[in-house]
Amino acid sequence: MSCPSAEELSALYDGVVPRDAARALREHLSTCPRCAQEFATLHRLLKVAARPAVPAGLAQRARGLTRSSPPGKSIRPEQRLSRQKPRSLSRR
Amino acid sequence: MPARTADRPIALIEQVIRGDEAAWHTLVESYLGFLYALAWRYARDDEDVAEELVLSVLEGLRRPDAEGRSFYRLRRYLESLARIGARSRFVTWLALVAKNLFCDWFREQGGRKVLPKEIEMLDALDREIFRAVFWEGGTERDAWERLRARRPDLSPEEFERHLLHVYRHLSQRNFWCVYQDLLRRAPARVLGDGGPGEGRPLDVPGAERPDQVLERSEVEAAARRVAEVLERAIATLPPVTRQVVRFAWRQGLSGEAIARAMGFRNRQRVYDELARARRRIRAYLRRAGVDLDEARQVQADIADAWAKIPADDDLSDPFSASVPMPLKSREPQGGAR
Repeated sequence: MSCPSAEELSALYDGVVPRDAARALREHLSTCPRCAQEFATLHRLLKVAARPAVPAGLAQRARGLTRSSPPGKSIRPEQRLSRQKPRSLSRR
Repeated sequence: MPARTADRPIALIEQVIRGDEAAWHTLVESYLGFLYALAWRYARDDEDVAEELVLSVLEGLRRPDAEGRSFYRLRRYLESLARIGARSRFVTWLALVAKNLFCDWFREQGGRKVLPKEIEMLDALDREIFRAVFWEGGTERDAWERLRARRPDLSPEEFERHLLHVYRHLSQRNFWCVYQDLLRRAPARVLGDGGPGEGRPLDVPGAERPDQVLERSEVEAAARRVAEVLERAIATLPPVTRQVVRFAWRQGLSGEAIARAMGFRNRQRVYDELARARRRIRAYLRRAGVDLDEARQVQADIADAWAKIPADDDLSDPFSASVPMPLKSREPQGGAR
């Protein structure tokens, strides 16, 4: 089989894939280093214990994202740059 | 069998896809903390980078497909129930998508259309494969299929060989997540199936000392001999045990991750399967006349090279560090170094 999609891999992780499909996915993962690594990385990510507080500025920027990019339009690089904080200031 | 799903905020996502901005706000607020926690791991204490990573994921979720349909990733997630007969929890899917988008972001920061210097030095096919895999996106298989359209004679083996070559030359700065991938895969190749990179963990940059160069071919030849017998031994194991062994020794997955992949209730079953595999493999090796001391020495040499590779502090996992060495499984962790 070809490499599984994000949907297939995450469904396998959650144990919700029908049995036959799960068997095929496992077989693929056991012989495809890249997909096995993807699976292992997913496992590590979901074990994230420390939850750093979300900076207030990020929540604002996330809201601003909606206004600057309505559904159907992706953000242009120059838009992203204009939102970026000057690193030297944010470090102080 | 009826399709199965796990809990997820489906109604909210459906509203988002229909263009409900308030639902989008709710979705973002609900998962911002989760995304930031994921990003924090990748950003290595850099708040600015963490924020940019989170925003790149939100942008990625809103992005339209080629036909202009917005939120195409969320659509794919919703449609997975019909397409593959299952839908994961939203957080599981989101973590995987976020990780991929983080990698895209780091790649873009490395200079999207300028080949890294170490890749520029490689031959034309290597460079083409680099562009196909790292610039054009998709899976490696997608990249191979695209390349096949231009180079009909490109075999999967040749593609894999060149791709490994590219991986070996990529610097940490240019693609640290691929490098990480390479490090984790390196020791498992000793037990590989004779494919590209077989028995060459010492090729990892920085792993080789000058005095090791002369010994390397002998070590590799011995490793290959042992690996061949090991492969035959593994082939005799029951299917479930064999799969666990492949996950643990070849792919380097942790016990917990293997339990997840195999659908076991807990990782104890993984350890039990591995213990059974070791017993059977030892017996097989004895019958095949393989000198266990020599096999252990091969493993020790590999462990020595492995120890020279900079450790990834976030990803240290005592289980996965010990399992690629099946023949010295009863020895203390540091004993072979």
